[in-house]
Amino acid sequence: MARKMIGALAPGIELTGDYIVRITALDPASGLVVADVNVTNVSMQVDAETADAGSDVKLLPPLYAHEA
Amino acid sequence: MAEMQVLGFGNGNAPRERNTKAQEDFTLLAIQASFDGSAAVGSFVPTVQIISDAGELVGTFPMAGTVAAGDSADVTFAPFLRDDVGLTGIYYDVVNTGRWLDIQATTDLSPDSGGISLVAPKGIYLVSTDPAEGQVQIDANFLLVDLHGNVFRVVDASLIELNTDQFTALTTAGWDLEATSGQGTLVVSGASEESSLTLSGSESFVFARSGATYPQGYVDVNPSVSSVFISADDSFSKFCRMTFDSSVPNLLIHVTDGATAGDVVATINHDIDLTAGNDIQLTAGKDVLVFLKAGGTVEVRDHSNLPIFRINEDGSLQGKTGKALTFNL
Repeated sequence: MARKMIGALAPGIELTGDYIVRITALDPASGLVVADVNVTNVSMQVDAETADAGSDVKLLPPLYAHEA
Repeated sequence: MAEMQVLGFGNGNAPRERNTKAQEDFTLLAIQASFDGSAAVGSFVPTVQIISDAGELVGTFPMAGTVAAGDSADVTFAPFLRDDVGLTGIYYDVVNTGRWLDIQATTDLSPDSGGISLVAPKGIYLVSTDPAEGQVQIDANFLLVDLHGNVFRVVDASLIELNTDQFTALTTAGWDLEATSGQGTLVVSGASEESSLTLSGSESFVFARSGATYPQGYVDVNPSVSSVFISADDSFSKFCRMTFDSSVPNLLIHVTDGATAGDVVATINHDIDLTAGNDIQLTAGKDVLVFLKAGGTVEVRDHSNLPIFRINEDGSLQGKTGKALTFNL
């Protein structure tokens, strides 16, 4: 079973059109990307000003009901 | 404002990216991702990067620690968790990385009153990575290393120095001291004349240079077989004391052809007692010489320790009373 680990994020980062969120694996010494690290199950929790619910954006059920 | 879950990164090798759509306006709260490093070419730090619409890096947010190659991690990135500047403690299942770490126990109230206990079933590694200045130091009034019958090995050392009054090695499996290059040297030195090298044990001791030839000579002391063999191609002297256990049946001192008359092979300043259950032989390529001090004698005795024949240093010969000197061999 994979270990559960944590990392810090700066609070309040706003993502607007064409902003990219990149999930990567960096070499601790060189800072370059380490090859063959498989990334899966990525999910991003956001506060949305505007969003179109789609295959990649899911309203949480209670909020979805509230918004509806 | 509504809290939402955003997917769309897909699965695959890092880096994975999601481009924020033109109609989207999010405030980032948290990111969850799984990193499978089973095929990774090296250790890695799971990291989130934000790039602006202008292509500029807004921020890089690494995990607090390093994942070793082959390991996997489920990582949650969120504000107000630790950053990688430094950890405020030591955590399990996290590669704790920082500039320095100082652990001190100030009382002896640990369960075994030992102060600090490190216990791990798969090994404990103390690694100093600077080959020039790195040092692993143990200061203690007693050091016990219990290897449970396994091997104690020092590798790639130019010198092993034991600065101690006494070094006692107890082993039931034998001792091998081997110099694989250069001239192998074992030095026993001390301030007193009693400084000595004592070899005792139930198995064997081997002092040898690798290879078929030993141009500087070697010492092979092996009490487990029927002989003790000491040989040298060059001078071999200055033994203060050599003691062989009485169970050793043979003592052979052999000088190769390289020795010339007058060479001193061994100088012993006190008595030599040669007692053998079988023959004692002196075999030389040239002369056998016996030097007597003033007043000294060479004497042959019978089984009752009574003299049979004597050569005196003044040149006189003595035989047993009533026995004739006969030349008939």
